[in-house]
Amino acid sequence: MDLEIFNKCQDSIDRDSEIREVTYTLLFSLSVIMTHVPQNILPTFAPRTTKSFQFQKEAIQKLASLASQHPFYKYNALWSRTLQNAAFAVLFRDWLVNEGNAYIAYHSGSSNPEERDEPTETSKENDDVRSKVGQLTSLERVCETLGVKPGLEDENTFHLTLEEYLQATISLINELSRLALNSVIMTENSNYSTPTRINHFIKQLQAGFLILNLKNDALRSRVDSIKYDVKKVEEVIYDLSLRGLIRK
Amino acid sequence: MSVSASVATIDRQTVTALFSSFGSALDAHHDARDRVIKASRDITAASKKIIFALQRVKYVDAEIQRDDPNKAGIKLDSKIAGDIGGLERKITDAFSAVKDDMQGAGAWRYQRQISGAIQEYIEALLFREYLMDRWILSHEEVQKLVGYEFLVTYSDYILGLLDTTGELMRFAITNLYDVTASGVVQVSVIAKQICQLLRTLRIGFSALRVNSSSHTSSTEFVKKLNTLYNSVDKVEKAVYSLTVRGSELPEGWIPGDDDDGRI
Repeated sequence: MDLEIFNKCQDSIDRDSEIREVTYTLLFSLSVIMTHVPQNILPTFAPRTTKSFQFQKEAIQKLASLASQHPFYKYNALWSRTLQNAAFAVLFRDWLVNEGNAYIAYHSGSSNPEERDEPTETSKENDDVRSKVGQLTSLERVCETLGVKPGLEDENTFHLTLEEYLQATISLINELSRLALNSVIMTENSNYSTPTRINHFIKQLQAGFLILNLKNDALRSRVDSIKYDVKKVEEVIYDLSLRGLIRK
Repeated sequence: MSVSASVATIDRQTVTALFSSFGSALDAHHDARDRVIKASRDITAASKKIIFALQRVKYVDAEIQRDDPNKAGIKLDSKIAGDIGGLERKITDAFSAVKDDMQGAGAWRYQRQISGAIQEYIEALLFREYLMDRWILSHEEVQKLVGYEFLVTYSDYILGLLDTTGELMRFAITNLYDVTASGVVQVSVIAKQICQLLRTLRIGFSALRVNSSSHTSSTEFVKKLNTLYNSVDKVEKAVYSLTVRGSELPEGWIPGDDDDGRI
């Protein structure tokens, strides 16, 4: 029996944990930045986060080069949650930027391109699902932003898996239900249009998730929890429309 | 490109198309995982039956090559050999069914689902090879027997080996008694050999520092190690009893088996 096996595995596990800690700290500070941004500065929001995303990209690079030395799924569970959060950060940032444009469009009634902050160039292959109610950045675009190869599910190269992307999307939904609540209380000029957009956006995504055939795993229970977010936002809409603050 | 041109409506159609493609990918993964789970159950069941078949071997009845008692091997009788052969075929079939799923990234992706089955199969393999050849297969030898298409992790090998010690203990105690040609009852060679083997393994395993990772569990290892300690104790106690009291048995005394008039 070769006892060296244990030592080698122990080392790589320790290294993984280090990288994971670094990434996690980064993500934590990143998420703190992101959840307390008032609506009116959304348009200038994107450049402020560029530096944090750069750090994140570098940390992920280190993780990728370490992880590539082993079969992909051998240690995947170690970084899956962290990478998922990183993907969520991208989704949320992109959503907020798009929301900033939508907010301006709604309140100024103008669709003048110069007033908007172009988040990133779009191209046909990137397939973002974006509209005046919200943007769901595609898996490929998220991978690009994170500096990860959008690999195939059954390859051993470091990639963001579909499940991680879906989990990140659900995290986005969770966060948006909070934002719906907060946009009513946190701004000086009452923002009642954001909750409406969030309402439509979340419902569309919920419909999408219901198309999936899910097993009784972690993804399933998170998908089930989407309905509570929907309920939360519906209640906000109800409160607002009851008081005549938004037109239905 | 202007913003307005890139805005698409989030509508039922777009979302449906997007999530349908997600659904297909997830379905493929779940189907593969289910196949591995099914194969895993079949392999586990067949392996357990092989072990039961081997436990039915009566050392004193089995043909043994006696030139070097330390290298003595048991020859299985045709019934048991036939049973085992059939079960081995079932195992090979189960493995073949998931061969494609377990290739490439699949080997680690579904490792948790097949781990138990691999351990059970290793247990059967090690047990049989020990009885037949007095040899504990190494990790490499086991990997070769299982086939290189299927990953045998060091964790599965170690846990499988620990399980084997339990079976060896049972076999030693079942086959504790040996009667020489002159009618003297003594401890059988196999029991003594197993006793020594278990003691060596106990020392080796006690020295291992195991930590938990995403694919091994240190608690499982500790539990099985404690079982090994108990097994060693049982065998030592049994061998001791017979050694000490063997001379006190009346001449010609045969343990058990009343309808067998053999002296």
